[in-house]
Amino acid sequence: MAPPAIQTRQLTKYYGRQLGIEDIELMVPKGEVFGFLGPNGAGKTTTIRLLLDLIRPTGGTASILGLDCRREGLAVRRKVGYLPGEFTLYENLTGQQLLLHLGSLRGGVDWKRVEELATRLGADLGRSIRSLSSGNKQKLAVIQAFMTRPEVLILDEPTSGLDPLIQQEFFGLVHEARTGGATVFLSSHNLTEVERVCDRVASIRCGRLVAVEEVDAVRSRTVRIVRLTCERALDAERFTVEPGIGEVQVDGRHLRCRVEGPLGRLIALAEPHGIIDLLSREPNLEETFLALYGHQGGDDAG
Amino acid sequence: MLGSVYAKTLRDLRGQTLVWGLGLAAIGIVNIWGFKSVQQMPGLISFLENLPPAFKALIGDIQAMALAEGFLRAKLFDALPLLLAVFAVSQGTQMLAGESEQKTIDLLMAQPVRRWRIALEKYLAVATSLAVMCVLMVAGLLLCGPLFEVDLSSRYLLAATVSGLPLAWLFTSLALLGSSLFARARQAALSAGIVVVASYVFEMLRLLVPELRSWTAVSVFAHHKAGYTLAGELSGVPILLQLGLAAVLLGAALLVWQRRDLA
Repeated sequence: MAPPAIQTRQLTKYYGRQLGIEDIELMVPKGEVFGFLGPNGAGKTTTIRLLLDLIRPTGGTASILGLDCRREGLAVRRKVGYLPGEFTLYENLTGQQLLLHLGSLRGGVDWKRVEELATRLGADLGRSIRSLSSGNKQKLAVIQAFMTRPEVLILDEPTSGLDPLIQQEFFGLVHEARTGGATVFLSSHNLTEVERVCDRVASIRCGRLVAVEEVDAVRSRTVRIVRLTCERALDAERFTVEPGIGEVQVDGRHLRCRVEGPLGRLIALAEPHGIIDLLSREPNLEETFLALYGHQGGDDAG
Repeated sequence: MLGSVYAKTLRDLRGQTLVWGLGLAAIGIVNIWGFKSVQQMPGLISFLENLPPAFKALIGDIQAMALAEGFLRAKLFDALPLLLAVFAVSQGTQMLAGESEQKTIDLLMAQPVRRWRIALEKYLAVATSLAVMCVLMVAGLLLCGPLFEVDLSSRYLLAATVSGLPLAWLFTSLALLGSSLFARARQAALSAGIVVVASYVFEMLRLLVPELRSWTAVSVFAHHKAGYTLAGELSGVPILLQLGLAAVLLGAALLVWQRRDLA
């Protein structure tokens, strides 16, 4: 039986006495797009840096494609394309020089592939990195992760700084990578992003794994704050009795409430009043976590 | 020029290498010019011979000051490793701690290259830069010496310059060790700098204090001075000692770097 693409067993990291992550158990099969969701400081980057052997675990093990991340780090890094969450590129190089340099450290790169990625993401490889905006630097970071068609992609907050059109293109690249047989491990603090592209999602909070579940299961419990305006006055009682709808505030023709799961029932209830406008806002991740998992998890994590 | 960590680091250092090499050549040329003036002073040697013993000890071979080689030795070559150490420490500590601070390290270390190899290639690039700087200095001295009508042995210039490199490489190893140990380049530079300055101060004290004069074995600067002669001959044992110590420190740096967490 083929080994999973990524596996961790009781993976633990302490920075001195401060908790980074504790007892993280993950199993990502080959060909999956796996989301790793958590607020800033939850331990996502610590987990990723352990997978790449950039830091060493206090306890537990991690493996990629059956290779031990600690003992066989070199072989692991050959198979992984990595996009760091917080990075700086060599500012004295152009994009082309940077990609040539990183490509040669990987034993060479197909330059046609680089040009194709640059065209799709709208990256100007001829310009000095010093003169690029953070979004354009992010494009270079995306290109270097995808350019060798790695078997495993580890992407830490990959869309930060990318405009919506380029994000669309990025999600296309993730989809193609999966179609081509690659496994994608995507860390994010953006639930919508994870819902959009991932098959399963692990949620981490305060250094501890809270849940690993199908994205559809998370989606069915997603909480949204909804503001709705109708042509005629609304009756608050109609909404408060409905399961999944809470914190209802009605002011004449305006309604504000919190909806868990799909919006269909709310719309059905409001429809007879003539819906004019509907605004839906996703709560921030901390609120979402509280809604999804209550107060699970420990104290502060690194 | 970007095919390896070595090549890229060398490329990054090219401007500073050129400036430092030309700067060292300029210092050498000023000293040749200075010798030309001093040479014409009657009674210089007898004046130096009458200095207090401590000053005489610092100058070294007084009689040799009448020769261009001896003058350059006292004024330039004995202190050359200290000058090179400024470059070695400032650049050596940037190699790893600097990349950590600038947050370029994750992307580099995520490539399929062994950690120790990345550190070694960076070390070799700084060591090469130091050698290139010395070549530029010697070239400047050889080209400009005749302009001042000063008779300078090219063999001596080469030996004096080459013998400065092992100590400079030793200080580069020290800087790399600091860079492996500390996440901040400033901390690394400070720790390596303190050791370099302490070594030099110890050598000064060794010359000034008669009781310390026999402590040659523990002074790296004394080994450097013993590494070449006015006749332009290199002495193997002191040079090998410095190279050996450089290798030990380099090994320690690579070991520390291989084992520690990236910042």
